[in-house]
Amino acid sequence: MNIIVCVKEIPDPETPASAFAVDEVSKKAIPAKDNPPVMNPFDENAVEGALKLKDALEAKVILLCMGASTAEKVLKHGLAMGADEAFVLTDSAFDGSDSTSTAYALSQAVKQIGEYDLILCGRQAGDFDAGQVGCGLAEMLGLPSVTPVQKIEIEDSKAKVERVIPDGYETVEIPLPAVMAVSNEIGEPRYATLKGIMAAGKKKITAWGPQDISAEASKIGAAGARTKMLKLFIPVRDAECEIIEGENEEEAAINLALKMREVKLI
Amino acid sequence: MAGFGFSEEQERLREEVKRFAQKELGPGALERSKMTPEELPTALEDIDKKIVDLGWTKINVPEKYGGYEFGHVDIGIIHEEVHKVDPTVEAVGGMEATSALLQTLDQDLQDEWFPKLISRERKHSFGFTESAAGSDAAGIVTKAVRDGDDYIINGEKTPLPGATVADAVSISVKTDPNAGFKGVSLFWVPTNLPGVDIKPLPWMGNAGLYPSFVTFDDVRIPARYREGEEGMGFYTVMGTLDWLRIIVALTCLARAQASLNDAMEWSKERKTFGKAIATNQGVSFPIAEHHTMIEAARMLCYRTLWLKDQGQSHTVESAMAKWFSVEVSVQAIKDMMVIIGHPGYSTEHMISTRLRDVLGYQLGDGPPQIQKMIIARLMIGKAVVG
Repeated sequence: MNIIVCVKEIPDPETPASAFAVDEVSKKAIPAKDNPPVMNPFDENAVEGALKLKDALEAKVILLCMGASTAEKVLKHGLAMGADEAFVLTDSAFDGSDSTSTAYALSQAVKQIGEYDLILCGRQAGDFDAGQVGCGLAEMLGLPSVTPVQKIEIEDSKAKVERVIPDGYETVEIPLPAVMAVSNEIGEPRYATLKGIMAAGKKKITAWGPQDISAEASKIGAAGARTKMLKLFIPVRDAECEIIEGENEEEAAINLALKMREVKLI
Repeated sequence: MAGFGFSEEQERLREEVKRFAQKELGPGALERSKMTPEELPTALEDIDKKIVDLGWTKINVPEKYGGYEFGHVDIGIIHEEVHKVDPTVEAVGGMEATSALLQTLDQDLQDEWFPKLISRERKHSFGFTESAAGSDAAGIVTKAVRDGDDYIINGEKTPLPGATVADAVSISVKTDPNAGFKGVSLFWVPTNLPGVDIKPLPWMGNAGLYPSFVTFDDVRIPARYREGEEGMGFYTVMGTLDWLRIIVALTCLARAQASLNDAMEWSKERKTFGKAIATNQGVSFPIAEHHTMIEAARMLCYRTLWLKDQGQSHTVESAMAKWFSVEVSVQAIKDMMVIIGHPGYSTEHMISTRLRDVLGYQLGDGPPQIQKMIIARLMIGKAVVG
């Protein structure tokens, strides 16, 4: 079976707060010098989910990413984990994408890849946490979808899936092909073995532009976006400490209550 | 290493190793650094399994056992990234040297040992040093006397790193006491043989090296455990140490770099007289100076590993890298400890562990004096220098 895993590069969540910066004009995060972009952690879980299936049955794992030139590094990581091949959508026409135009571009790429039985993606990305692309992709491809997923078992042409719910999980059955958004409960992403790292160097990454996936210009990038980012900024947090005193504990407590009322905390 | 820098593959290797080290080795590294050699093996069991899964123990072992060829620059990268985070864990270790020595034994012994060494069910170590003969590898007194199909070994090795956890040690012995360095032979000695006695040494650092004192009292060992021909051991020892010295140097620099990183963060956060201490040149200049020295030493190390990968001579470079890198590391860690102050002097901070470790590495694999002697002999001429 062919499994397509959609992955996204995001600013490294481990970036120290002191090194994190945004460009308020272009409304983009500026990668820290020592913290290059990484694969979205939930997407790493999706790759792990695909590789678990590959371990259990004959499967080919294909990575698909829309991103900047640095996306290749992120894809190489997935290839080093054990994925078989990768495609990257990289063109300035994709800039300014939101969930809708991202889902559209990915859906066109999926059609171009052609043969697939399952499409996995992370339940949400660690940068904007929208969690919309998986569902959008399913809608555009006319496929059933489940989200968020913690376990996948393939039986003939359908999948038995454990879906995460607030107090546990429910088991659902879904015909293939389908789209699933994977949650971290599926398991820790495996580390790349030395053999995997060496093999990744030889695996080819195919770069596609809008024409390669027959994408309509009005539906990709900023042109196809249904949402508009008004402002991107790092909130300023001022922390001031004021010691509320009193002659004794009782008076201090009264003064504290009065102060809290004054600043409208109570 | 392609040209003057690392290849894309090597950068990727560094990223992947860094990822593993930070997630898997970071938690618990400080606690492990304070453990005794008796406590440590149990604490490292899970980590050992993960390292086996990553394939690090198959580096440069025969393909028959699942091994593969791997460059020495790459091995250096693994060691550097691991020891930035955790100074006690054995990353790749001396597996390549172990492999080279094991391949000199009969096939059935290789079949017995290779799979278990790769899975880390068994461990192997090296002992070439004695109380009265360290860097003078030909001055050893431990001897092996032929007795029919066996040899009888008597003597001692100290320090013998790893012996308390090793299932076999490769040791140098005199098979011909009158032949100088041509009388040195090597043996693969299973540590469960009668007459082998191993005691831990109370070192002030480097718990992960399991320093030991080992005595051999009439140890009878079949001749087929001899590694290579009689009298060839000195050359093997010298050849093995050449590049392992660079790995030692890189692990010291890794500790120094980690300390520098800690000090940089601290200097930005720690305030005195209303401003961060990094604003004082008395703080920022030592950081700048040590950053320069560490980077210079790293380049020396990696160039030496690159020379080895190219099959070129690297004895002078190896000796330079060893003494210089360790010296740079000692000074850097010491100065960074001063910048961090008492929190850095605490055993609750990794920097004190790192300092104890690198002090020990000044001695291991040849102290600075020996490295400088090697360089001087090769540069000026042995006939002049002596």
